[in-house]
Amino acid sequence: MQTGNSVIIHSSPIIQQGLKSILLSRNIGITDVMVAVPEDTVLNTWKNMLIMVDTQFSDEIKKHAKVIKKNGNRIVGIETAVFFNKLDSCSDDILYVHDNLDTINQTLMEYLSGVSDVKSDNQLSHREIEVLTMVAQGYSNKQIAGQLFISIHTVITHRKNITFKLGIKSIPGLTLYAALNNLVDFQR
Amino acid sequence: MITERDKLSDVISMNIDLLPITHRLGLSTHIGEKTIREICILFDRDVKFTLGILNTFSTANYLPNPEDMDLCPLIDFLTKTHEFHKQVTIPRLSGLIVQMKQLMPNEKLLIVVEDYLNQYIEKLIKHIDYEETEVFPLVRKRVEAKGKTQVSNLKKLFKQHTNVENELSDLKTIIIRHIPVQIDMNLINDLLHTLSHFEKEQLDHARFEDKILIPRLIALQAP
Repeated sequence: MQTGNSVIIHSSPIIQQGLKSILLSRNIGITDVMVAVPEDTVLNTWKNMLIMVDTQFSDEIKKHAKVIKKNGNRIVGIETAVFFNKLDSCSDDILYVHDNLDTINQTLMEYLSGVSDVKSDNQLSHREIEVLTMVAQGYSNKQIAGQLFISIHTVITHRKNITFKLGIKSIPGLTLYAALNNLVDFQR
Repeated sequence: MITERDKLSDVISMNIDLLPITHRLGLSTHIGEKTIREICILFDRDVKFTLGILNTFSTANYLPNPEDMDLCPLIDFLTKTHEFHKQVTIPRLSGLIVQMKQLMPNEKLLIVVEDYLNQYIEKLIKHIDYEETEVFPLVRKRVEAKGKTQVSNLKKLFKQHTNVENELSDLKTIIIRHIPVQIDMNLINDLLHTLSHFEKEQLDHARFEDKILIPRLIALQAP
């Protein structure tokens, strides 16, 4: 059973094939293999993906990091040098070409554990995710109702459902959850 | 249920979490083979009050008879609990996060949890300071005046007594869901245990204030 999806961005056919083989062995699907970072219109369509990207594209990735990360995508840099990560903090993780299979598996586990979280997130409706995001951004019920063109009563119902589904009661808790799931920027 | 005939050493052996509680009650030394009653006499403590505290912390949802819980010793106990959290629990939690961050400086979970915890601690310290400078002195004043001075609105006095313990429960839930693969498991275990104890103590603390302190104050005011 497939448990996630990935995109490989690397110009080396050897590395492309190696990554494909490893990802498929862990039941992670491969949506696309690219040789360059695509435009925002494509990046916007990626959701909850594992983005395995050559660190040579550090400038493009840094430029588009916000767009890539906003939909719960996880960026893993592929580095050919030893102990050097050109992507710095904009990657969630780094793999060196010399890494052994245990290290690679641990990195993939990080993504897979995130995917299972996203699955439980999916129990929230699109509207609930919108409400959760606005709660985390500090909007009041009245402001949320105004922005989403719904009644305050409906906002309260959405909030009750969010708390019930996530098991998180407090506003700081919901904000923390939203930050960890890339719904809001966590650097406050 | 713990009774006055129980040996304090047996009670602590059965539930080690009661050791810091006995310390806050001023009963943790010279325990030997003595019963709770004997220890209370030795240290000049009220037996019913002591049993009320010990049973509240060892039995879920237990509430002592408010008549047995004198307000001034209760305020002393709550103040010592505040001190314990300021001097022990909060530095321990912060220290564990710092230790984990030294091992994994770029781990997002640790960065956001540290931020969350710092904001929580700031709110808690503010709440503690409010109780110690505004609420507790007023309670003592009223006890000394035997309830003759009126406090206009007791609920308003406790307006800052929010359910901050929900935030600890949420934090624990979120950490458990997002434990990173490469994290030091001993440190994360310590963090979750400390958070669990802290959450339970906060709940018990709030229970004392909501179910004992406020009703006793109201009773004191009644004609």
